[in-house]
Amino acid sequence: MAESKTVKTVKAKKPVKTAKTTRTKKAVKSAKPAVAPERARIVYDIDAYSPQKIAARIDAVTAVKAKDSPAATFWLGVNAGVFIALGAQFATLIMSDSGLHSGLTAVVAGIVFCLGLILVVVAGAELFTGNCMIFIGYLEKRITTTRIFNHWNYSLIGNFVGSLIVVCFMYKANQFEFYDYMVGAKALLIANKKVNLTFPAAFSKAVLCNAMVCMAVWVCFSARNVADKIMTLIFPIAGFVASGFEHLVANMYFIPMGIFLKGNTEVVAAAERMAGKTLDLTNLTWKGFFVLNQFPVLLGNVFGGVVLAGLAFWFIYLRPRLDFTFTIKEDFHRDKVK
Amino acid sequence: MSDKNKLESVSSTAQQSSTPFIDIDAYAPKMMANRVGQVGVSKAEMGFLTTLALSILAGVFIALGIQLAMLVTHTATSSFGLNALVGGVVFTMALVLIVITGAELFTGNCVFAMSFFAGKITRGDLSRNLIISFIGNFIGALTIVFWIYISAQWTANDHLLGAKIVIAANEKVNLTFGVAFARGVLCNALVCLGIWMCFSARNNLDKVLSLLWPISCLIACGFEHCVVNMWLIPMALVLKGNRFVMEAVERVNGGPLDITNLTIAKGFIGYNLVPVVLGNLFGGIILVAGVYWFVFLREPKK
Repeated sequence: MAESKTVKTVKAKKPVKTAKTTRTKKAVKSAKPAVAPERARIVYDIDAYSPQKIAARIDAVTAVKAKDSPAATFWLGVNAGVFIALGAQFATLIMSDSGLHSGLTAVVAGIVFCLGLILVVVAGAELFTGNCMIFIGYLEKRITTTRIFNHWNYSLIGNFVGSLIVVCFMYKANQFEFYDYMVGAKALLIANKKVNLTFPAAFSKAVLCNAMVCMAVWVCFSARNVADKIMTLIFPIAGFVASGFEHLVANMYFIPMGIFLKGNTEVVAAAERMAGKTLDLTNLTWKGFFVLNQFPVLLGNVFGGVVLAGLAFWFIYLRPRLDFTFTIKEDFHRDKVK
Repeated sequence: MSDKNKLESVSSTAQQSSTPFIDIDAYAPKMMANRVGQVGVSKAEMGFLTTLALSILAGVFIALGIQLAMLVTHTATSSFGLNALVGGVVFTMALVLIVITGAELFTGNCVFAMSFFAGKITRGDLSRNLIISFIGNFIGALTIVFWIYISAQWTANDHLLGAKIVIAANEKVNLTFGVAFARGVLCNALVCLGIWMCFSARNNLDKVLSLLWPISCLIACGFEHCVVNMWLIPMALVLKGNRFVMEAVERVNGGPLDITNLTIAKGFIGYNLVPVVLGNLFGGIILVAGVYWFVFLREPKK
């Protein structure tokens, strides 16, 4: 980095000098000593973090996470599960009947789903899908292999526990009765759709989903304040929800909720009314949940987060610099000076 | 992914060159926990009359927010989901006013149990603050019941606004204990998370945006907030006696509405306020303050 900077400054200065000297020699001479030292010393920096700094900050956060106790990771994981489930139930309610056509409904649902990610990013939680980004720090050797796997496992189990807590509370709160059981019907239809995906469809949807979630985390690391974080989050998160991609932790709410609601005859009747046909709910079981949905989605989310976001950004910003061009230029420059 | 311990990340290798003397980044969760702990101490030190006055204000703000939400949603022609969402978004006004003016809301103050867990204030301090703010919120909400009744705002739109208030309140007094408790838990978890996120904020825009999602969620999803019910149900109790409002209720409901539970002692206190307050306390104190205390402020065992 240092090498590239020197080359850049040398390159940049030359044309400026010639251009200015041709105009007014005196003005440049008098201005230069006054301006130059002030520019060099940065007193405080309030700009958003640049991509290089984002990569460095994620790297540093990984080092912090490596020291976290398993209990803290687990409870923060529970928090993340609760937050995402709250966002998911909010989106279900809004989607149940929006009166808009399906595209606009999807966008509105996506925007309200941001509740989950806003809480995760601002309030502090360990979301498994977002945590795929700490692979950047692993590549920089900030965290050992066992630690990173433990971290992922604890946060994943925490996410599952948190989601189930919200499922229990939401079922107990009888929210599915709202609007003549339409809210429950919508939840059932969403869950049934998710367990009837083929493996490639679930996998590719999951890859796209976590690439977008990790992108949201990435842009949040650029933010200085909460408003920045929220405004940058909205676009990727609303995007992935509206596009119907598969998020592992969100499915931990949607599908168990559907399994609970399957036992309620009124909800099933309302769902059949909403769908306009008899529903085949044979796949909507715990087995279907783990085998048909969670397994491919887990693989897809890990691939999307670790390879497409983590590895890609590490390659762009943090890989060991082997840039021959810079050294050659430097040598060339030195030769010229001699 | 949380970016906690930002101090450490600032001092990481990549940033040593820029040397920031002024930190303007949003507070990281660990710092938020410390700030909540300090604010809890200052709230415990506040005098009785100051706390009471601030909590009356909070009751007033919540009542104004929920009456606005009622007005906006009472005859919306848009569909169920969007209608609920708009009601939630306008209700955020109440929490924005409370957070920015520093009023004492009973439900929001549950988050300051964190300083009790951290050993900075005693159980007496915490319960004193919660009890005073509960009483103050009640007084504030009843004040707005009085003013709204006098202003005859409920006659708006051919008494349909009054009808909406009565129907909404009647739903709230006909809940079973378990349902009201669960809705109370979910509600106050969201309120306290909104307040908690405000402690990350540096400016008011941050606060407003971080409140918008959780608060609109709790109203849109029909969760039970005890201070909201302190306005809504008394207002319905007052309007119950009005002939025109009850006619409008029948028009909306498509038949006479069973309002036998809409009474002070049995319906309001017994069926609604008791389970909802218990749920609110559980959601705020255990699920938000307790969990965040456990993660960020707990002294490690030696």
